[in-house]
Amino acid sequence: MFVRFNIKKKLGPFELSVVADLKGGITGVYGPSGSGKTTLLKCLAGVMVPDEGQIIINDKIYFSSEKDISLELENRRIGMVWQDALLFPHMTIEKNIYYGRRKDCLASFSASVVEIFDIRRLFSRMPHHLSGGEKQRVAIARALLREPELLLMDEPISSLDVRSRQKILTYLRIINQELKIPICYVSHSVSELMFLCQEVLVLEGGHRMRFDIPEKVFINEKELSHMEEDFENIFELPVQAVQRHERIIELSLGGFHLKVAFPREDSPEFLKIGIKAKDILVAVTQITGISARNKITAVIEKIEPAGDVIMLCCRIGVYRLWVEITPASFRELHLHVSQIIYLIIKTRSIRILD
Amino acid sequence: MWFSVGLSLACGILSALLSVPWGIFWGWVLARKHFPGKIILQTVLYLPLVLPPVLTGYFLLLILGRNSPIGKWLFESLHLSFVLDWKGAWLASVIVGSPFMIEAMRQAFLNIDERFEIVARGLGADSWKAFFTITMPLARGGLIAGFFLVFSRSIGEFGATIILAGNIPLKTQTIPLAIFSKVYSGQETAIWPLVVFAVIFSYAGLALSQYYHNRESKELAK
Repeated sequence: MFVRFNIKKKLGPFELSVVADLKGGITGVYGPSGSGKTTLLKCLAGVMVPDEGQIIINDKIYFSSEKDISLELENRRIGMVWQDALLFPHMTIEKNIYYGRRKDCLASFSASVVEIFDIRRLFSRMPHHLSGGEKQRVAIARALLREPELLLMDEPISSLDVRSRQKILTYLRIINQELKIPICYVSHSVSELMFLCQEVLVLEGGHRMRFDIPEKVFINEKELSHMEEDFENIFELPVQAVQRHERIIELSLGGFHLKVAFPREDSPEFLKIGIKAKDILVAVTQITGISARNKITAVIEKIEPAGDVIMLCCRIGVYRLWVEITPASFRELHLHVSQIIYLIIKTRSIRILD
Repeated sequence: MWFSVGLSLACGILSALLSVPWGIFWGWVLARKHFPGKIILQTVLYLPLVLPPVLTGYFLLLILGRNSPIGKWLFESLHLSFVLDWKGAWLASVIVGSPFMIEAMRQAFLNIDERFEIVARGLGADSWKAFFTITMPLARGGLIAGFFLVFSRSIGEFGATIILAGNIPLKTQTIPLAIFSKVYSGQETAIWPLVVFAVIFSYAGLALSQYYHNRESKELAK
């Protein structure tokens, strides 16, 4: 599965010019407002016709200015989910879901999509009786029943509450893994992209600024040049609780309550934080009687030498956290991929970036 | 009296029916398409709203009279004549009432998020399927509101009808023409049954139009 595009589109003074090869996982599209994210998605979907370039998905040419090919919107197998669910308001959920179902769509595929999104119980309802999260689940399921070769999503959960957001993000990971449908996901949220994506395309002023794994994309700019020496994990996490008397805020990190020193008086819904890879301690057995407030269980996903140090990519629930250790510690602890380890982080080692 | 009531009802229903495809087409063009000269086209289509109906009737007479090329061709080829004929009364109602249908449909299409059609096409529907399964059902309230508005306008049509179709009892005499004749021939007591019918038809048409217009607005706001 691959998606390759080279798109040029001029809209007044603005020009979109992007080249990328997507590998088939979930690709995030990130950038400030007006950077061309939605224009890129519209060109891929066929809502807009690029001035120049080509779009190829799995060896099939969707657009080629050179060969004068431009498939109509209805002939492209590309699903699109917008910020508003845009369910057809005069149809029941069942009719919405099956509106675009292909004739050769296997019943088992339809059933599995309906099951994954847990929407069978909503079938007889009208769209205006659904919550925002339910509507968006239906919209995604509807797009999937077209059996798209690529699913485009333009900030699909930005208007939802925290619980619905997390639920939908989990569904998206499942559909990408189980149904093998590549997803192009536009978002302003670093945490969403860190959670979901295998790669992130950063656009600015219509041009590709970066295209890399999320961890590398979301490092502070000033620390970019010496990443290996001073890598900082950046997350935007939902707030679970604020302990005003202790001046601590608890954030949800893959099922753990991450405690962060929080001297402010406000109660944000999300908090952007940075944890330097070198400020995290690693233990191979559970430790008690230690002053650090955060003791987190993680699994080593990757081990990468980086100059004089070893970088461990650790998975905590759905998040990835990079930890820096010395080669001597690495050898002494006999660390290996898939090993369960315990990470220790002091509340004051976590920097608030908001 | 019953002939006039029947003719007015028939003209009202037929003109409302004929204005449906006309209103859908032009309403859609005006709501969805952008092209140079759009304002000129829109003004021409809406002109019967402000033009004296007598003048509209006169223009129709010039275009469709037997001395005009079109009128001559219609009569000789299709044996169709609108002058001094009930079909003239019907056509006059269509022309005078059609801007109401166009405007009702234009508003209905403008109220529908265009992205619904894009979503439908992205789900494999061609433009026609998207139009008939998504756009038109969502514009249904506007269509019904426009239908009853044209019907109501048709019931009140006088100026264009008297010029094109004439005021011939038992042939082209609609309710307003019959009232006109009776008032000027001193049969004032005989006009009241006609007045009652005219008020009932006009009120019912307008009330239904308002009802469907409001219902559509509520449904789209959900």
